[in-house]
Amino acid sequence: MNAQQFQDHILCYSDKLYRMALSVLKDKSLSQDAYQELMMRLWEKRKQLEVIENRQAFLLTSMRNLCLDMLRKQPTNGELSPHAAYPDPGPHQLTEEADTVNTINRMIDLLPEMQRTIIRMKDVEEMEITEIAGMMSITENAVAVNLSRARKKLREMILTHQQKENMLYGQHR
Amino acid sequence: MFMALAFVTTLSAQQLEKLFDKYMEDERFNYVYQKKASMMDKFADLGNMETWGTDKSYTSTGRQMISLNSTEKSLGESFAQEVKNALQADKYEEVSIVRNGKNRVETYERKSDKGLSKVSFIKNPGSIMVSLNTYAPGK
Amino acid sequence: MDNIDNILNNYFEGKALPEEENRLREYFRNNTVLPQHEVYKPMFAAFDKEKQIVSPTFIIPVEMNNQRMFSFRRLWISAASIAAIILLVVMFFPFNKNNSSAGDYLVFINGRAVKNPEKAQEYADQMFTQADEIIRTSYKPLVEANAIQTKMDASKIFDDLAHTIDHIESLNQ
Repeated sequence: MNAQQFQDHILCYSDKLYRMALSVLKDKSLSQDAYQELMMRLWEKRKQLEVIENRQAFLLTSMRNLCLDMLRKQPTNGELSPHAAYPDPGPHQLTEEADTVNTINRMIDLLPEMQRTIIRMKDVEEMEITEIAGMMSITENAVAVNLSRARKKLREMILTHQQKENMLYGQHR
Repeated sequence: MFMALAFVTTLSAQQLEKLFDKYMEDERFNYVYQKKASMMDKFADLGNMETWGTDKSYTSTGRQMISLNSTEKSLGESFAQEVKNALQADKYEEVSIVRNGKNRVETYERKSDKGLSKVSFIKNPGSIMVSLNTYAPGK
Repeated sequence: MDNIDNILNNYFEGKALPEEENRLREYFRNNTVLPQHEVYKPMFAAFDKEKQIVSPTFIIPVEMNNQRMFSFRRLWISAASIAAIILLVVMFFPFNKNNSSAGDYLVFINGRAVKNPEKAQEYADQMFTQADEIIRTSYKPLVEANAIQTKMDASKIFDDLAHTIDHIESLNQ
């Protein structure tokens, strides 16, 4: 595989891979490191990549595993606290909707890793249940269950947030 | 011997070189230093994967190697640690680690305008070898 | 819009079909949604927003790294022929003893200087050749443990995959 082929067949997944890192690590800087690390390894192993049939699944799995490994090595031995992946609303608020959207991105980050990865694979990357199951080595049913949980939890957070906002600011926002 | 040492420190590697100096006359070690490239070196370099495909041409300006032939574990470990520290201090960049059976080969590199330094750090039970190859740019 | 409500229901149960989810996304991208659906608009907007995140740039290495990016099989064959050349050279061009002097070599065996120039050269060559041989043969099997500068250690992924890929390759031959 030469540079052009690497560009065409591997680098085309860059954005998805980076977003996967962001989902797992919740940290922009670490995610950038993870991305560069993975790309370098993929480049080094590009000859072996040629035989892989389901590239997307392989690449996403590799990235996820790499990031999970990083998480395991954190002193907190688990989740990192969200850091700079999505900006906090500043004192000068953006439009109401933009503010809410950012809040929701952060809410998704509050979900356990498996749930937030699954919901993003489905709702952001628009992958199919079968693909997600293959990527995460779980059954399709398990994907559906976790997806449902994640979406319901998100709904709950959104509704709670909205109720609080209504209480604080009334209906006049 | 002092002249040879002067050659050794030319490419400003510092810490690693000091380590060689420290143990070269230690009875638990073997040390070899070759000042300039001979015909044999040129072929040996061809066998060394690291130099394949380099666009720049380099001439060898010497190589040296120290090996610890001891099965004493603590000595091996402390020496390996000293090497590691020296490599870090000298800002060598790790190029690869390959493991084959009992052998573990780590290669490092440091490039600058003045030239190229390559280190091979070979570990296996019973012996540790560290070799430093230096190159100047140009033919 | 009973249909949307149905689909939304399925959505939160994790049971919506891909086409249904597409419809849902399109619906929420429009500006006009029913009041009871307003609350979900930012959620779908959040997903759309995440999809816009792009990866950092990966620069395919050209210079330094080219030298290690060889097919190992090809390399093995070439290394063998180099060894043959070395052997021939040694046979036909034995070292001219007059060329070597103690000044070219510095040798200490077990802490004691080897003064004899020929011996010194012999020992030196032997040691260097031995090291070169170990380095050369260490690349033979594709078992690679690689932990580069960063603190990440995701090499296990590639160890396993390398084995799998080797196995696949050998089956394909």
